[in-house]
Order: sequence, then structure tokens, then C-alpha cells
Amino acid sequence: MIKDKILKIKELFPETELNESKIIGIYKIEQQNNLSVTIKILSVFGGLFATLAFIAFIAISGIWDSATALEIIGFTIIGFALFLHKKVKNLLLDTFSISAYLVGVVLVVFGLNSMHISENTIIFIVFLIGVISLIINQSYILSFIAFLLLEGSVLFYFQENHIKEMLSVFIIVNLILTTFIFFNEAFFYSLKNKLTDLYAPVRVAFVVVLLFSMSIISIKNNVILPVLYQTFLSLVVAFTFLYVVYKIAVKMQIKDRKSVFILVIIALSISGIAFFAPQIIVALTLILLSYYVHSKMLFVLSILSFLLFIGFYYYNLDETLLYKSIVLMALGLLFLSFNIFILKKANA
Amino acid sequence: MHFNNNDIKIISKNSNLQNEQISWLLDKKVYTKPKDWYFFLNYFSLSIGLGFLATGILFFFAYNWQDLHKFIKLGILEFLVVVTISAGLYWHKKPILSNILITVATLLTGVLFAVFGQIYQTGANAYDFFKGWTFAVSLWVLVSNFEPLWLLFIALINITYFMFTKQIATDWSDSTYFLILLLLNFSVTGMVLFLKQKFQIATWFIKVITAYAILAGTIAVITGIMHRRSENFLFIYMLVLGFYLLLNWYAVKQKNIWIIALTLSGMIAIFISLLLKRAADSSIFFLTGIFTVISVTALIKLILFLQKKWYDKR
Repeated sequence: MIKDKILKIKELFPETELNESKIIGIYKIEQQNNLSVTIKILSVFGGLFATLAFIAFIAISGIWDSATALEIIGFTIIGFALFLHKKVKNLLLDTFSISAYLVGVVLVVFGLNSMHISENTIIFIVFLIGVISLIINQSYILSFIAFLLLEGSVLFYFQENHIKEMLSVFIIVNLILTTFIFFNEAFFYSLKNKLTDLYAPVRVAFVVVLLFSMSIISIKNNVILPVLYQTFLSLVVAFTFLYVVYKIAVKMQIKDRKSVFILVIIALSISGIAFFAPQIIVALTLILLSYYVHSKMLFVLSILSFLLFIGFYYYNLDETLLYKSIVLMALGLLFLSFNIFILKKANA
Repeated sequence: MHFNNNDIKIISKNSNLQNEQISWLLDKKVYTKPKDWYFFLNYFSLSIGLGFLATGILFFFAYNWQDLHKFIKLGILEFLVVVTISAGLYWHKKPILSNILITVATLLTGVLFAVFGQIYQTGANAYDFFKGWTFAVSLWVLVSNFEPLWLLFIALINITYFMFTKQIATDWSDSTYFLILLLLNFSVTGMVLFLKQKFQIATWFIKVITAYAILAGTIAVITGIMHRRSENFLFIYMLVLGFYLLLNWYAVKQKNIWIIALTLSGMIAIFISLLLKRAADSSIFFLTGIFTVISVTALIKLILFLQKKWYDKR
């Protein structure tokens, strides 16, 4: 199977040099660890449960009372998990090293907390743990968790210091980075370093962070952004959506003047939703992006959040059912007109 | 030749492929092709557009619902039930469409019962509502050959039973409640597995049904272990043990890893609850953690071994 792929690459790019034995070796390991969904679910739940049990043990046994002991154990476990995972390329250890890593982080945080260290310092240390983990270990699930720690600590910093307007800056930066990452996969692969391995898990983590931060602002009265920040956020969301649509239109080779005109009008009207509910347009952008790169998991994730965001938005809207009904029908007609336009193109 | 992005990553990391070449490979071999974009956008915009339009119309009726005469309220719903069922019969040569229509009719029947109860204030409780709904649709469920509808029906039966024990049979003990629940779902599972040998039944449906039965059995046993009158659950322990053994005998015969993985996970959960029941000091939690890691790892090893033994013959 992999040999066919190597042959195909050689056929496409005759002057390319490939380290064939290494590639085949990597595939051999991947095949041995080619796990079904059942096993993945088992290992995740097993890991989580074991984590809880160990935390309960530490809480009851009295180690909890000594902050220094918590720190020493916590950092040892984190280091152990990172290096164990790096040395032993065996996914059976996933359960163990992931639960160990999470236990370590929890211990470090609680230890620092009982040492009465300021919250901002704790947040910074968690951020550092995330960064260092990413430098040491690039395996899929661990780097996914480490990146979530890193982003989560930034989000938590804004929350703790009551600078909620920074949330919109956070979302804007994340949205732009996510779009950049989705369209520049080849660039990361051509670097041929640690970033190449980090690419896939970090991309998933970016989508999760974006959807999470959008759900924070989509809950009614949860975060009220200043008007300026809100408008700026909506503008960036709308422009990102239009940029993604443009990229897809280029890919689909939509060129004739009439089609471009209709597409521009429909895309502009859809992007207008960003000024009422940016979360819906972000989810829509992510649907398009994940379909663009052919990622099934991210596609399902963004479709689900798209539907949830719409549901929540309408549930929370302080308008009469008549208003909601008219807006929904108008949106339905908008998408249907787009469909008719596309169908006509496909038949032509 | 089909590539995924992991292939491209591994190959480009171990070769001197340049940015433009990798970009070309991803674009042509991994990413969505223009043809698929038309397909996707067509179905996406159609379903979103129709969905919004239908919800909008629904909201429009909901807005005016208070002012509608009860004759019109019931009339709309009954008309919809009749239309969907007739359409389902008319398109009986297109099984998927027909089955979806029957499922919609089944859901509408529930709405009809709810509206009926609301208009006439029949004084019926939730149990009566679900009982009526379940009985009214059972004929459609029997004749339709559609797994989602069966799943809905089994869920309805379970909800009806749950409501029955909450609202009618309030004096039943926990063990009686679980006993009947288990007998009900175990026999459903047995029936489905038996029918599977005669008819084509979707794999996901069998997975959901067996998972639910095993989950119910495990929860019943754990409830029994944690219950202050554990001895009342003795019969349930034996029943679940017998069910697990039968299932595993079937799974080994049919080479079904899903059932083996689930029953063994259930056994692990039961064993952990036994450990935690005796929790006197912190060491039990440490033991639980160690036990979880070891047992889950062993279970994964077993699954990998079985996968290799049963499926890797080619």
C-alpha cells in the first residue's frame, strides 16, 4: 500500500529523493497502532477515570497538605509522561501517559495555589508548561492537550483580570491564525521540523478553541463586549468568511461575470449575519475550511456547532415568534437561491 | 491513488519535496475537488434552506397558535399525519424516502397526542401520553424496515416503562424496577440478534441495542452493589452474569469484538465499584487507579489480538 504511494510520488516528481526505508518504518509502526474507534474511546475513558482515582488518592492521603510535595510530584509526573511518550512509540501507553500528564498539571496548579502564589503567575506557569510540552513532545493527543492548556491559560488570564474586551482580540487572532493554518498546510510540511508533526493536532485544537470562545460570547448576557470591539470582531469575521468563499470560488473556477455577480451578492448578504451573530458565521467558515481540506472530524464538529449556535441564537432572541419566523424564512430563501444558482451552474 | 494528509506529511518529512510540490500534491490528491464542491454546496444549501424555511413556517404557526380554533389545530396535525403516511405509501418503491416519511409521521403522532391532551385537558399524565403514542405507532414500526424508527420505538417503550414506575407503580422496589427493565431490554437484544441471522440489519443499530442492554445491566449491578439492601439484587446479578456469558458466547461465535469490549468494560466498571464500596482509606483509590490502567491496557491488548486473529487473514 505505502509502496504504491511512494511509487506514485516518484512517478509524479522523478527527481525527488525519498528516504524510503524510513517512510516504510513509520508506516509499520502506524499500522501496528492502527486503532479502532472502540479502542480510542476505551483509552480516553480509562485514562480519565484513572486520573480521577489518582487525584482522589492524593486528596485523601494527605500529600495534598504539603504544597512542596505536590509540586515535586506534579512536575515529575509531567516530565515522566512527556518523555515516556516520546521514547516508547506505543499507543497502548496513551491511556497511562495522558492520565499521568493531566494528573501532573492538576497537582502543579493546586500546589501553587496552596503556596498562595498570585493567580497570574499560576496562569503563566500553566502557559509555560503548554509551550515546553509542545517543544518536547509532538505526539497527537499530548500536543493537542498541551495546546489547549496554552490557549486556555490565555483565555483564563483575560477572565481573571476582568479584561473581557480582550476576548474579541483573542477570537480575532485565533480566527486569522486558523484560516492561515488551514490554507498553508504545505508550508508547514515543507519545514520538515517539529512544526510538521504539530500541524495536525494544533489545527484540531485551534478549531476547538475557536468554537469554545464563540460559544462563550453566544450565551446571552454572558460577555457584553464594548461596541467598538464587537463591531471590529464582526468585521473580521465577515471578511474571513468572504476570503474563504473567494478561495473556494477560485478552486471551483467560477469565472463568468453573471455567476461572480450573484455569488458576490449572496456571499455579502450571508456575511452580514456576522453583525448579529458572529458565532454562526465562524461556524460556517469552519464548515467550509474543513470541507476544503477534506477533514471529516472537523467537518462534523463544525456542522454540529453551526446547528447549535443557530438554535441558541434563536432561543435567546428577544423578539416575537413572527419576527423570528420571517427572518428564518428569508434566510431559507437566501440559501435556496444560492442552491438554484449552483444547480444551474452544474447543469450548464 | 488515494492519499490522506498524514501520508503527505510523512512523505514530505522524509524527502526533499519542496513547498510548491507539496502544495500541488495536497491540492490535487487530498483536498476537495471542484466536482465535490458542487455536490456539497448543492446538498448543504438545499438542506439548510429547506430547514430554515420549514422552521420559519413552523414558527409562523406557533406565533398564531393561541388564536387558532381547536378544530384547526388538530386538523393541521391530523392532515400532516395523513399526508406523510400517504406519501410514504405512495413512494413505497423508494424505501429510504418512504421510511423517513413514516418516521416523520411517527413523530407527528406524538405531537398530535400532546396537542390533544392540551386542548381537552384530559388529565392524563406523562405515562398515558407515552403509552398512547407507543401503541398508536406500533403497527407502522412493525411494517417498516427502518432501523432509526425501531430505535425510536424501543426508546418510547423504555420511556413508557420509566413513566409507569414513576407515576403508577410508585411502590415498586429498585430491584423489581431493574429486573423488569433488564428482562425487557435483554429480550429485545436477543430478538434483534436472532433476527439478524434471517434479515439484513444495520450494524450500527445492533451496536446501539447491545450497548444499551449492556449499559443497563452494568448500571443495575452497580446500583445493587451500592444499595443498602444488596441481597435483593441477587437475582439481577445472576441474570446479568448469564446475559453477559450468553452474549460473549455469541460474540466469539460471530467474531464480534464490539460485544466483547463492552461486556469486559462493564465487568471492569463493576469490579471498580466493588473496590470503591470498601473504600476505607486512600489506598483504595490508588489501587483503583492502578487497576483501571492495567485492566484497560489489558482489554486493549485483547481487542488488538482478536482483531489480528479474526480480521487479518487477508
